[in-house]
Amino acid sequence: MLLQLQYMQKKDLGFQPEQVVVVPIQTDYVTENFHEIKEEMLRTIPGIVRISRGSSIPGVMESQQGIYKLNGSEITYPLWYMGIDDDFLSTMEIELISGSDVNYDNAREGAVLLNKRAVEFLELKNPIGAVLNFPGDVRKENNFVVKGVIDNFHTDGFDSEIKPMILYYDPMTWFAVIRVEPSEFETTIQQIENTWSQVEPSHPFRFTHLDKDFAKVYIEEQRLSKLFMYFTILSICIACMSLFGLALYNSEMRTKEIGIRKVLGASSWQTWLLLTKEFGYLTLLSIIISWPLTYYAMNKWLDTFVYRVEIPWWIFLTASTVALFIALITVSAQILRASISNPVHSLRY
Amino acid sequence: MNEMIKISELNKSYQMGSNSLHVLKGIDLTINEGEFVSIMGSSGSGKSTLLNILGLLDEHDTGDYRLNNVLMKGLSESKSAYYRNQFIGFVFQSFNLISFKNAMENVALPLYYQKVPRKKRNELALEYLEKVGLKDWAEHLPNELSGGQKQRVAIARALISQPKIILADEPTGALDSVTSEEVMKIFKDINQEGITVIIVTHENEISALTDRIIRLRDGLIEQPEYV
Repeated sequence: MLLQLQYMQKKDLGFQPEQVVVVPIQTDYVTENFHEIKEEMLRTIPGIVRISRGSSIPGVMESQQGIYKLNGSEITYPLWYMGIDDDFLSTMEIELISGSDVNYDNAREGAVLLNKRAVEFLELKNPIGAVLNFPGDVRKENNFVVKGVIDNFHTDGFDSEIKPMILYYDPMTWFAVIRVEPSEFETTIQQIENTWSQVEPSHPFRFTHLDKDFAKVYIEEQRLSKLFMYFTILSICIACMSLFGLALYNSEMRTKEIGIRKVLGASSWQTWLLLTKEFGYLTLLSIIISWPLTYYAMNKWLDTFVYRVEIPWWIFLTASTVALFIALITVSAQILRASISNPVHSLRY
Repeated sequence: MNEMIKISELNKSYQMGSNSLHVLKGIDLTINEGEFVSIMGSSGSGKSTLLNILGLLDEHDTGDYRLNNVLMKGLSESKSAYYRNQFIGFVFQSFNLISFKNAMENVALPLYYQKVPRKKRNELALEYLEKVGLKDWAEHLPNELSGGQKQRVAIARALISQPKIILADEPTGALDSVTSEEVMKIFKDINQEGITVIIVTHENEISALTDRIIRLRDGLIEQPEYV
């Protein structure tokens, strides 16, 4: 579980959520005057790297699905669409693989971007220049022309596949995304708040961190992982107590045998080894039984993710070694006490 | 004749809370190789303490103890175990057989600690069981044997490592008189093969069957008495 969680936390999302703040646009004034406000902020706040906005933001607002036709064909394709403003790709650090970005100028020609997944989904060999439109809408001015292809990026959790997406220029979207210099983060946020309070005085300034927003997609897994960890610790404690009890009972029951063996020439080390070996075999047996069960259960759980880790063989080896070590530590002290006792006392039993 | 056991000025005390109980009070004793000796004494006379020291199950405080001319002093736990295994065979009043091992496995046990392979030690165990007349009982567990049979298994176990000495602590204490005589006959036969046999007993009839009686009283040896 931890491996899957680490995988999700470290996986390349196709965009860089760190150091990006998302500010919801709450007034028409800001929506309509965004470009001027953006220029002013970039000029006056040195800690801002880039600013853009979008209709949906990964982890904040889901994109919507629409039906499109391709190159005049009658076949329709469901694609997820997203409106973006100038500099969205560079602000989010989404890679433009081929073609060019959408902007105010080419928007009038119906310029759109497709992600790689959409190119595969539409089976486009030469995506640049491909024409998409809405079914039933034959107006040429409503055609969408593919201007560029961007890398895939995650918009949802890892339990669903990356969606085929179409991104179009939309200067009226409601989520500002601001990439901030990490070294001046706090100061920059304060300055953004000051500016924002001036342009949206009737609304309190609100912002979220994009990386934390996106982390919500695996918060359930994080909770589950923590819960499992607590229960694992609890079960290990209970198992250790039982094992300790068993070791205590066993060494008490075998006190006389230990004494006999020592009288006949066994050293303390040999008697310790004899008793410990028995617990070692029991632990090994339980470990071997647990392997296929654990593999099955973990595989089942991992199957709920589209993007998942494979269970490495060494995890079994490591877990088994740790389990064996804990078991031996638990029983050793008790067995050692029995092993080093004077056989004269043991034989009185 | 070779001195198998030589003890001089041997002292042993036990700490009992804030008091010290002086159990062996500077005893001198020599037992030669091939002797058949009994140690007698009342309860608390120190005979069990002496036997434990002779059997390297306990350490003395002061004085010298030489076993087969080797000074037994400051031995590590594993060295004591080694000497016990090599030199000494033990026979106890309560037999001390391992309950979940059959007669053959019980007899073979000392050889396990000499790293003798299983096949070889089982063969030898059968030989020694035959010596004590119990070959047919080799596969039986201790709880399927009578007291006398158990003691004979214990004797076979004591003999299998070909010890220099047999130390027997009240070996007939749990047996009837007929069986006791049989067991003593076995000890006599063992002794005649050259093995030193030392028996701790409180029974005069038993000590009378040995060649020398060592009487302990209050931690001191009384004048040895030859039978």
